[in-house]
Amino acid sequence: MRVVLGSAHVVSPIGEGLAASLQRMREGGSALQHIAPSDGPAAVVGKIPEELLAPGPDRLYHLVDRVLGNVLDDLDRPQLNERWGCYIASTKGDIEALASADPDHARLPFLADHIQRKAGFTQRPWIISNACASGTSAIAIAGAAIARGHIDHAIVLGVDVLSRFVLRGFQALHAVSEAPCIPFDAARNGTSLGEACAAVVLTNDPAILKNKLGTFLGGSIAHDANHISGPSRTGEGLVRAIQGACDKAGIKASDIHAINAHGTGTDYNDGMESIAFERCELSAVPMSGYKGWFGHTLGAAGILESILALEALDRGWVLRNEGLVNAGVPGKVNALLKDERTTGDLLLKTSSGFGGCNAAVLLRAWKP
Amino acid sequence: MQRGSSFASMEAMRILSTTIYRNGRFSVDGKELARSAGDLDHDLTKAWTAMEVELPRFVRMDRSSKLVSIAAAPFFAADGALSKYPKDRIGMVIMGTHGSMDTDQRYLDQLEAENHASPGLFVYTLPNIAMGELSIQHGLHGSGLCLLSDAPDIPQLHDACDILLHDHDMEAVICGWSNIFAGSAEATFMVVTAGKEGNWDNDELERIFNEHG
Amino acid sequence: MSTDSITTLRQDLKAQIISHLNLEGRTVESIADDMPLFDEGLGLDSIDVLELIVLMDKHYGVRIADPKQGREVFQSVATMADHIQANR
Repeated sequence: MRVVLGSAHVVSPIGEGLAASLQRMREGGSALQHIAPSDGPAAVVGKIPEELLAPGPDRLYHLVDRVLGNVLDDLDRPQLNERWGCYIASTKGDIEALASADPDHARLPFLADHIQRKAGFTQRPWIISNACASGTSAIAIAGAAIARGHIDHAIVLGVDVLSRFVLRGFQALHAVSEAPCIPFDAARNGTSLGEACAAVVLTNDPAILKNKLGTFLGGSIAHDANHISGPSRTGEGLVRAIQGACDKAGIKASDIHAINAHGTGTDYNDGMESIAFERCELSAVPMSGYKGWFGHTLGAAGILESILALEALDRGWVLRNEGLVNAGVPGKVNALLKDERTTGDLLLKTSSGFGGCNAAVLLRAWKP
Repeated sequence: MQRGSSFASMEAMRILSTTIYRNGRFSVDGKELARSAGDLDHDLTKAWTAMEVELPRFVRMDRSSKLVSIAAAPFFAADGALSKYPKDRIGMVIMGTHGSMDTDQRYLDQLEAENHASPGLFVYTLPNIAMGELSIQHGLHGSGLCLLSDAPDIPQLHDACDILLHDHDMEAVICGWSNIFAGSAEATFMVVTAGKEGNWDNDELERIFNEHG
Repeated sequence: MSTDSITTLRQDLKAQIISHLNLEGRTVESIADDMPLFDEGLGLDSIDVLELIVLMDKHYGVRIADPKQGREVFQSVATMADHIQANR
């Protein structure tokens, strides 16, 4: 069975929509900016521009509504009956509510209730919270649910917004760079946090999609079983996730045309990924991570980056690692310094997160 | 309850073993292993020591990780339901409603009171960390899903197990509900396999998972 | 600094480590001055190093900017006490 992706929408620090975001990435530089909080250390973050998302306690919900509304408008058959599933990827949802008068709103199912009501899903949405691998895990699970015949269509939506809660925590872990993050660079010194909402439809009936983006070939999730916050030094979990996705998709490593990596900009993560890619014999494949443009968008990252990497491939491009000057990682990889033209269409997307969780999906760009 | 998947089209699933932790009482397949009526931390420690498992790290983990570790431990005993399965073919599906909010609150309280973010607490402020701890304890390299829901969603757990068993090639799945918040803890864990003689019964599981007291 | 005061500092450090890292079940007596803090010793890890950096700053006024430098300082209670003495 063919599982097709399409009718995607994104809002991130680089702007709104697929075409505009891609143009911004091709022609512009990083959207990361310096902030100076009154009660904590200065930082560099990726923030959604205020003209797209007004400040206020409800900005998470406004963001979700905006992306969801666009996706529903882009469907030919938007009755979300029992053959539709909804998979929400988020790490912290509305965590700022924990300090508000309604701390229960910080519970992630509260966000699912909002989305179910707003979109009119018959079924209860799933919430997948596999740390920074949530987004890629959600695509893998939604694709499998359609392939297994549980459902026919799915909306996969990832969202996380900037919060003092998470920023201060990453700073306490010494995981945040004082300058914009540069994934895979020898001088990398930590990540930059970002925020985004990204959503895509997966379906076994491409006729419902006004815009098609690609096909889902297979996905996999695996654990390092090593440390809750430090990635495996051997890349064990990521290697297993990549091999699992390849087995599921029935493709060989040598078939892959582009890798969209997790690429957080921390010493350990990027090093681990490079080792895993080399172990999987992917050293020659053009590889990039997108966080230099908009930062680490946590639960949204896997979905946002998959959509943008597919859109780039659809237009014949593998994009660079923004800011990368001098690649310096322990494993052999082909980390792109410049955007590259390609006729290839097969994308490997990977994500890794705390808890030692890794996810990989294989997606084929839409070339009718 | 509405659901999309039709059971007839799916392969049967077999539940091999069930553990239940509720209000200080811990039982394995109906047999009581520990009973305690102190405060939450005391009760969790009591349930853990009753199993006589050597794990120095237990005292360092947050409560959510402790609860998940307790609920899954009997499956890994010498005569436990998972003792014969290869470690990299054991998957995990763990659902709750508060996720890491018990630890989120402690981390936030300290941040508000002292303007100090504790790295040791922060690393536990993600719902899937308890699953990560479980994978580390037992060397589980397989697939895993941390799910959140208002209440135990049996059809979602069913479909998640089906995907892990048949799409992610797991041979067994530790599947269950684990929730800890505001001084109360409850967990219901099962070992699920793809057996010929299925015994997954939605109504029966609704009853077991939602039993209180 | 006298022998007495370094002994006092080491004892104080042990109590601080136990309470700061929430080492349930550990006593001051069970931690030897030269016991390794990591791995087979006290079993601490990289996150604990970050907590110990905070402890050093808050309680003893000694700053360690780079966690990698911390590995040398945090070999044992004795090396921590020496570092505090030398930098306070």
